Amino acid sequence: MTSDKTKTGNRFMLTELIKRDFVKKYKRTTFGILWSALSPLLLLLTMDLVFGTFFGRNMPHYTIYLFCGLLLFNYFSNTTRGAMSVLYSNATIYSKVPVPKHYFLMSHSTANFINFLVSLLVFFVFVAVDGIRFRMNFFLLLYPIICLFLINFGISMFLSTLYIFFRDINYLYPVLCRIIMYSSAIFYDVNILPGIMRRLLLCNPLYMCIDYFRQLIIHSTVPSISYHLVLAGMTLFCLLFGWFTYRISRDRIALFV
Amino acid sequence: MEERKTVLTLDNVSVQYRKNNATSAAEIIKNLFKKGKNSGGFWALRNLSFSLQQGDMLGVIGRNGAGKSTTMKAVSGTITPASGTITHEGKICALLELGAGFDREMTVKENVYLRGALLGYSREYIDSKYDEIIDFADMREFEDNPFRTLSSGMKSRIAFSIASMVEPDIIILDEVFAVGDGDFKKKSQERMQEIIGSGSTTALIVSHNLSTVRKQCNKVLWLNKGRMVMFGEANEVCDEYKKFMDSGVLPETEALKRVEDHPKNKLKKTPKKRLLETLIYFLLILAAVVGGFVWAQYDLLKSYVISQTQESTEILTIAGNYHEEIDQILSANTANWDYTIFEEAAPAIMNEEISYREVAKEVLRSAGTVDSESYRLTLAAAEIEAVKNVHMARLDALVAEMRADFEAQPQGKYRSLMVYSYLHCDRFYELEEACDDDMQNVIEEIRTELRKSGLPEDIADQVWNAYKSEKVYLLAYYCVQLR
Repeated sequence: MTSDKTKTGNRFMLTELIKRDFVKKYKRTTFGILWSALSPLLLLLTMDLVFGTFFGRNMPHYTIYLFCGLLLFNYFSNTTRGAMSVLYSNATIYSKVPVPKHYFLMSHSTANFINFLVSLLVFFVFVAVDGIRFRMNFFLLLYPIICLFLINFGISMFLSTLYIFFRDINYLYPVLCRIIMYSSAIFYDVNILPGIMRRLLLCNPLYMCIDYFRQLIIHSTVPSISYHLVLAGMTLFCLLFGWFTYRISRDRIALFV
Repeated sequence: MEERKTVLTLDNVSVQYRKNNATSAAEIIKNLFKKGKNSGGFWALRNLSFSLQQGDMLGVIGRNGAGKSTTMKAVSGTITPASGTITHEGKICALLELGAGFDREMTVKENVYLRGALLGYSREYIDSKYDEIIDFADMREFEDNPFRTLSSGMKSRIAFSIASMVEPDIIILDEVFAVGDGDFKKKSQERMQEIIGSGSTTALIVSHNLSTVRKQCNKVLWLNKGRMVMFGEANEVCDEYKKFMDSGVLPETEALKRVEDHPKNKLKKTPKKRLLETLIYFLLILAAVVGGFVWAQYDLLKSYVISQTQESTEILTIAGNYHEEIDQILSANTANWDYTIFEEAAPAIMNEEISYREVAKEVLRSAGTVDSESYRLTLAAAEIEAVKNVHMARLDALVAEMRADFEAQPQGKYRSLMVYSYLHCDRFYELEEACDDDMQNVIEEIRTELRKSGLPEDIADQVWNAYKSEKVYLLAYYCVQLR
């Protein structure tokens, strides 16, 4: 068997898995994929009503500001939270059929990514409605999107592996997720924070992605080169951390599930 | 007899399971105090070595829990042995616990494709075989039903159909002959014979039925408690096994003697490796912490480095160059500007008595710049100049304040003024951000102007970048003063 043949076989396996993960999410719901657009919208509506009166008063485009944060945070938390049980729930498959286990994680991340792209469309409709004209440099947003995808994949690998050996993470991670949410400045203006806190926020890759969106869309400034480099570094770190965790315990997973 | 190709070799394969499921804190603590019993795990297979040639038919026998299924799993690759190596040639197909691992919500058709993909078939291959699979399982009418609506017999039927739709080089069967109703059972056995009987396929069969083993297999592996008792000619091993079943006494065989009690010597994961892993983890976390620390105060540290390496006059020149760059980008003619106005106005702006714009307008008026085409951009340049002056005035005040505070501290509490100001860098941050906010407004003005006059908007970005660089050098200049 040539390696070329296995490669196409693997790609086929990945597409089938992605199809499964994507279809499964809204199977047996009435609105189906519409929920990818509806759920962030509903959340946005609520939060805009509640916080808009506090923070939106002296901030232009507060709805877009809020939507940037919500959109990316939802994508992040949906992917990572869902990823925790991926290796566990697919154990019936890979303990019977010898498949590389990371394919399940890859398909999970990609299915969530497609979901995110649907919400992104809604987001751009909002951007247009809010009177922000489309500019060519909006294509730069691909950079934080790709970075966030890879970050999510890295964290997914880490969490999913950890979940096999340390089930408590199921209860710990939602708390952590909440902390990440508050440290991503989703609904509040960063300027209310003292200087040092504002800088510590920049150590949060999710916040960096959100900030990238806001800078480009609301203020139409392109972040500096060092900003890009640091984001790339953080992405690399998350990937490396996740991959390393998965790699060293890969062989033991089948014995634990 | 002709020499046949060796297709499967197991060399010293050992598989370790966990002995106890100590996951809760209470159990872990209990185990800590229970000394001596900490052997780490339970060996489901110890030092198993054998090899098979092409066309061999191996029957694996032994009591429950002898390690038969573990052997099969290790060969199929779903579990990785703790030590030893398994080498094989060609495609392995494992028919282990068939019904498991299907998706309940997806239709039969989708499940066939998914399972086929997981088994490593290509899309074209399944496309061509799909009808055969469905017809073999006799499921044409249920093709589009969700999998959860099928009966368990149907599930096994479809599973068998998919899995057997290959021509594998090595096939693994774990007592799956009993599938479905009588009719299907016959059909599946015929299919099995078809695959096995071709002569080029090597098969591993787990069975408790000795007569089947005698009939079908030419070689037999006898396992007992994870150890290999015998491996050899089918009838020979089966006879010995029969004796053992009657008497309950294990024969003393060569293979049994070779097995060590604790096959730890060839573990793939040595303590050394574990230490290395911990070290890498540690380094990764260290890198994250250090990286975060540096990034959180990136511009401050950059200013500090500049202030340590360059002379203050040099720093001021570079800052001035950046500022000129801004003027150039905005194509502002600064020749007639009266810079004293900026300096004098700075305190007033700080007290919010007057706005940047008003100061800028005044300067332009005194310079005699009339409302020309580029008036608005020139005005912006003047505003930026005002912002810079205010920023410097604020920094001046802050440095003086810092110095006074430092001198008021008891002697020796802080090593130097530099250390003191670093520990109170929050106040610098506040200034920086106030300056950024003011600048952001100006940039916004420039942007609207550019949009109105149809000029490319990236001019605003260029101004912003130049301003950022200038600011770092300005801060560096004040760092020098703190020395």
